Amino acid sequence: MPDSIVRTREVKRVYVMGDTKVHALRGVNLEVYAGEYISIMGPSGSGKTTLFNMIGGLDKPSEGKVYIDEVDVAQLDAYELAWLRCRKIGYIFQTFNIIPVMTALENVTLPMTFAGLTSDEARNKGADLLDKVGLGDRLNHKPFELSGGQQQRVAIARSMANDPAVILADEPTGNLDLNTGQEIIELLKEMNETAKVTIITATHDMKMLSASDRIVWIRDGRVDRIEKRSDLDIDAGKIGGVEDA
Amino acid sequence: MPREGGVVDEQAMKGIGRQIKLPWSKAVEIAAKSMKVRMGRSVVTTASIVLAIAFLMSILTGTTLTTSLRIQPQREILRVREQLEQVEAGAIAPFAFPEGLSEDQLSREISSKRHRAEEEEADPLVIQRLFDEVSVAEAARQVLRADTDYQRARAMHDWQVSKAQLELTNVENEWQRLIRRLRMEGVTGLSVEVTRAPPERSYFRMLAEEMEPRDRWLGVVAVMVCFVGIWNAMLMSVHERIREIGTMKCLGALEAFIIKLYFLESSFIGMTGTFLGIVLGFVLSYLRASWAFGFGPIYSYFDFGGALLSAVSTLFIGSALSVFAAVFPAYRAAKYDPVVAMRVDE
Ligand SMILES: Nc1ncnc2c1ncn2[C@@H]1O[C@H](COP(=O)(O)OP(=O)(O)O)[C@@H](O)[C@H]1O
Ligand SMILES: [Mg+2]
Repeated sequence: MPDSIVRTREVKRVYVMGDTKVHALRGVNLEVYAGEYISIMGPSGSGKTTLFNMIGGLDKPSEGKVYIDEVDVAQLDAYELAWLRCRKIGYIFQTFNIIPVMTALENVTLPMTFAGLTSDEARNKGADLLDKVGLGDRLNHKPFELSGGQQQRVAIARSMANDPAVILADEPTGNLDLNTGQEIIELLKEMNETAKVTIITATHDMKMLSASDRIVWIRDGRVDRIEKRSDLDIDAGKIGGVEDA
Repeated sequence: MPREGGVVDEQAMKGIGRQIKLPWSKAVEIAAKSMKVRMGRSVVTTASIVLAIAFLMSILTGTTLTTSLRIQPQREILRVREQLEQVEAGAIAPFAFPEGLSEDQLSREISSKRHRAEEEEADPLVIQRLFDEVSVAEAARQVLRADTDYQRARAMHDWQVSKAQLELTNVENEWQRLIRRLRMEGVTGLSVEVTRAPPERSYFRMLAEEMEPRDRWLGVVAVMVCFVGIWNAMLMSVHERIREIGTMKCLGALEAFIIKLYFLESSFIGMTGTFLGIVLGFVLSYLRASWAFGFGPIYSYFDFGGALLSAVSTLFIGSALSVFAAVFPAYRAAKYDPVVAMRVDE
């Protein structure tokens, strides 16, 4: 039995807006094992981002528990949460969120600085990581000098900065064209295989599923079903038959 | 707490201690970059601080100037008078009289001045001044004529006093003219008479006593303008960077780091603006006074030490303001929820 790295128990999240309540999550039970590549599939508005915020320790559930490496995230104070975000979790965003005033290398080394690495150590490691994502010749480029795909590669290198246990990628290909998106997925898969980092991505695009070990379908704030890749015939014909968002 | 074997074990937590102090240099770097990127706005903010501080500085310099112009000549007259007392008491020898003045020259000057003073009808100030010049020349002539050392010392003293008196009158006249030009009616009562020693008091005491109520009020307004300007600029800077701040927090930045960023940015803008404002305010009000009173009297009577004190305290005020003005925006930035980094819509 592999170790579970992320576990949620009956996680609910209700957004209260004036008189109305939005039930973004209605009781999610999910277990993710170390080294897995998981895709969370669901139409837009189904609660994927909300779930990511819970897993990433960015938001707290209204009810239920989130465990990361068997630690209850709700029990952590601000310092411990910062530590968790810095060392244990790598974030990749749909909008890349590369810090615009910094070069690619500075973006990648920033989390290392937060983790207490010296600038020499950080620079070497950052250059290695950027080399791994295929940007070895773009270290000193600013974000506006990079294409969307290249920015997302910087983000991947940055998420790997402190050798996290889990990378959370919320619709990492949402702002990219098909081919670039596919390359990003392949890169994430490569990181998953070579660095053994657990990857959890959210998407509503069928074409991004091929790399996944398991696919978690969520709908209306609940887990609809979980499929193993072996169960799923990654065949364009069949996927085409599944309802898309 | 359920954390046996968890990620947050004690040993690993030690990294956080280092995390807190280490990124000062990083914070300086990021703050500098973000200002560079927002150069246009940084310049506008700095400019508003420059103007507000320049205004404050020129009020302080102006008060210093008018007070020095009024008091320094009085001091000079008193000094000469004291010297005479010492001559009379036989304590010191009389001064040597400068060469190159002949009695003929002086007589001619005296009569022409008297003549002009009698003809002049327009400006009583000009007449007064001519009479003053006559009395200087008279005194000088007596110095030339003196037979004994004592007589010479006596006349010499009169001559020195007359010169100081004349200069004071000049200053006074220019002052009146300036007042009229600026339509600042009511600012009179500058006495030429030296009846008692001008007060010996600290510079700040002088400022407190001599500053006009309206100037005081304007100074406070300038300080407030400065404060609100920095506050506003910092809030804008926070607002523009909500996502950036969220991202940094996702990457493990502590609130203290975010706060550092904003304090650095505002201190830098505040100090640059304050420094430039001090220079600008001083230079402008010094030049304006020199233009009105003449470079000579201003240079010899101006209290430069006092002006330096003004500059230092203004620098202190400006820097303190820029730090205070950043408190709320920085706190707000630090409290931003990292969830915004995830949000797709801006
Ligand atoms: N901050 C919020 N306030 C109120 N409602 C929210 C907020 N964030 C998300 N929601 C709602 O929660 C539901 C799930 O949203 P989200 O998790 O963003 O879905 P997804 O990422 O799958 O598109 C949606 O109905 C959305 O409108
Ligand atoms: Mg989403």
